[in-house]
Amino acid sequence: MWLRLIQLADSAVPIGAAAHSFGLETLVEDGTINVPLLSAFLGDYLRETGMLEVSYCLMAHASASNDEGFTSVWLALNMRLDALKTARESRAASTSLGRRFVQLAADLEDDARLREALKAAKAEGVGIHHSAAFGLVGGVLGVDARRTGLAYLNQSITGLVSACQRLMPLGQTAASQMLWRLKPIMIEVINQYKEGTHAVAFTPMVDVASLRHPALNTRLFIS
Amino acid sequence: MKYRVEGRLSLDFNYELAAQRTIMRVLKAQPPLKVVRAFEAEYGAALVHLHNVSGGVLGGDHLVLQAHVGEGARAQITTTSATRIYRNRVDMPPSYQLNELSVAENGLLELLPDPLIPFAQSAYQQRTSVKLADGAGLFWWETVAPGREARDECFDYDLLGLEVDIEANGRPIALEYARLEPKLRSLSSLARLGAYRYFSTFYICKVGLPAAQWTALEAELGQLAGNLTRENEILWGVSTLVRDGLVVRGVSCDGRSLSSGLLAFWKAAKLALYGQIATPPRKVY
Repeated sequence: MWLRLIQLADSAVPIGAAAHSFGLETLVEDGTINVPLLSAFLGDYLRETGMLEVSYCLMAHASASNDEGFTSVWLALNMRLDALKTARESRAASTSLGRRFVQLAADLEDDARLREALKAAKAEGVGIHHSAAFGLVGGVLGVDARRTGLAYLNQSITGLVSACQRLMPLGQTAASQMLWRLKPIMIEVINQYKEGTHAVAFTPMVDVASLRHPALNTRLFIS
Repeated sequence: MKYRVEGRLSLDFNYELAAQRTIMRVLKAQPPLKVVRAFEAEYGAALVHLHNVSGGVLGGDHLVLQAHVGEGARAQITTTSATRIYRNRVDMPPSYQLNELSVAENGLLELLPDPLIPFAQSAYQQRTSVKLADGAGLFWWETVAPGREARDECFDYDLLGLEVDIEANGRPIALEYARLEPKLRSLSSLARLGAYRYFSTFYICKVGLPAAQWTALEAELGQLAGNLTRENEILWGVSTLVRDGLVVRGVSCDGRSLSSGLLAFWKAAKLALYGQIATPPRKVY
């Protein structure tokens, strides 16, 4: 099952992640981040946004084994993510990736819980967010929570680095080295997760960048 | 550990048909929180100034503000000056303020406080919960300063916790959980505030409006955000929430330009949503 999650955790999995920068395009465009500053930026991005996202990933993972109240827990998690993601483009990007992720997993693995997750979200008009989708799929596949959370962090940050390769002069080797160096921070983040507590995040620069993204004159990314 | 002060202020705003205006009732006023009176404001609203007779939030204070705006009532709540968060004694828990706000059907709450200034070595946690019923409206801004800049204080506080939970008809539409500990995690990180020092959030909500109307208002306020943005000085952005509202966010190198920007967004949004002129509570912004 771990091998199957590795396949789904690949940054090239066909869910459309390559079309999104989650506000990074604005930060590059206005000169806030560049190649020398990128690694530190991504480290703090992981500690803030990564922490928040992975907490929902892990809560969704736990919901997969909740036989009694799965649907209500699943919908509540995604509604909270809807409310946490106050920037429209980033919210839409997350729900676009999440829905496709669960749909792809459901096409690969015949599982009632995945079908229920899609059906309930559609019926209630609730978006399926990427982090929650990833956690649910990890739980359904029986991969342990910690590995699922780490795989999610790795996939999401790999997607951002890939976006940066298209936005700035960041070569393949430098990108790989950067991702390599970020692994300990992913572990630091997952180690700090405390079940039953609110994950905190403070990223006004990223939030404002995402809000300003629709106004960019030329855009490579949807978000 | 016992808190040093437990203040509580409970306010009820109801629209009285006979008087054709909103009347405030003080249900509880336990120092240091206090209101003196409500002023009659435009469009039948009641304007109220919140006082903290301590002069600010002292280490260990535990404060609760409750305000309920009844059906069709309108309340505009502001502060008499910036909220100063004083240095925390080492043996005291962080000071805490809970704001519990609710707006009934077709009511309107305008919560327009002055900035929050966390002094050096202060530790403060604030939780704000807003529950909006059908047709209820909200204009609520909050600005956080880096400290007492006149004393060259910049991010010298120990802890600033900010929690926001806005619900419309029982469904969350905006949530924030931030814990700023500048001595542990630099706020000058490019993922956090970068080169900016002040930040503002402005929530604009009216429950039940169609999504298309919010999209149009996002475009209008987005244009304003572009006009008010000056790279390396102040940045503004606007977005629709998942439903029933918008958020405006700003980061700035100084507080004054954030205040004047918030005023501009408020005026534009109130005109668009209510067809009315937004009248500032008292002062120059």
